[in-house]
Amino acid sequence: MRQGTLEQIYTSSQLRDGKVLNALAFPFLFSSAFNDPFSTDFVAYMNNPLSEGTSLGIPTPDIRWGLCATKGAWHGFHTDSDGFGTFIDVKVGKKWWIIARPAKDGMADVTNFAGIKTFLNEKFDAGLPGNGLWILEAVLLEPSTRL
Amino acid sequence: MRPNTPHAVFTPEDAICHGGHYYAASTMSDTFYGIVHSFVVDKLIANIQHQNSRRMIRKIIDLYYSAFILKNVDDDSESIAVY
Repeated sequence: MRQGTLEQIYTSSQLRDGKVLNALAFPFLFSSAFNDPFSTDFVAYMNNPLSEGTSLGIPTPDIRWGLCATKGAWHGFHTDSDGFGTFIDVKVGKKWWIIARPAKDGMADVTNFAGIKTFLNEKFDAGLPGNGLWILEAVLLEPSTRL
Repeated sequence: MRPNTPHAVFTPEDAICHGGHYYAASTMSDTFYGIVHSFVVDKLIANIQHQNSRRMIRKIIDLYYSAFILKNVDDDSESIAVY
């Protein structure tokens, strides 16, 4: 990882042979949380009498963010941190989101990823497509689509 | 995308995205598995850490306690659906 500026990303995007750059997790300090069908955390903050007087507020910059990348950027296999579920709204351009599901006997048993050797397996390589550890499905995300 | 899901991302065109994280009751087991994996193998699989996430989980624990132990929840509330 290197340090840079958004201006450098924009400049690269305008050049014919600009660098491939990927910038993640710009915190949206002033973004508003919203109630979607999956956010139990939102319900916990808004409907929990035990929280009164103890709340430090919803950590918005941790859970609302932006990212940008120039054509050709590649982020190898990983999971998102802290056990978070994730949604993505593409505003401009395209993202090809490649998602793994367990390959165990061909069954979609998500608890397979619970195994302690899931990422300590000698077959695991963040730069490779799984080595048979899982089945891959890819979704092309375009503006107005949400993962 | 549910928690603890290995994934990779390719950018076929210059792109700007907005995103977010959440904890869902329906995938809380996967959240637990994800936290343990993040702790054990750290940057091998995750590229960031959010210390405040634990505070969010505490809130959810408080919510469960309030709802199921103290029975301190409005049955008509739509929030009951996401427990």
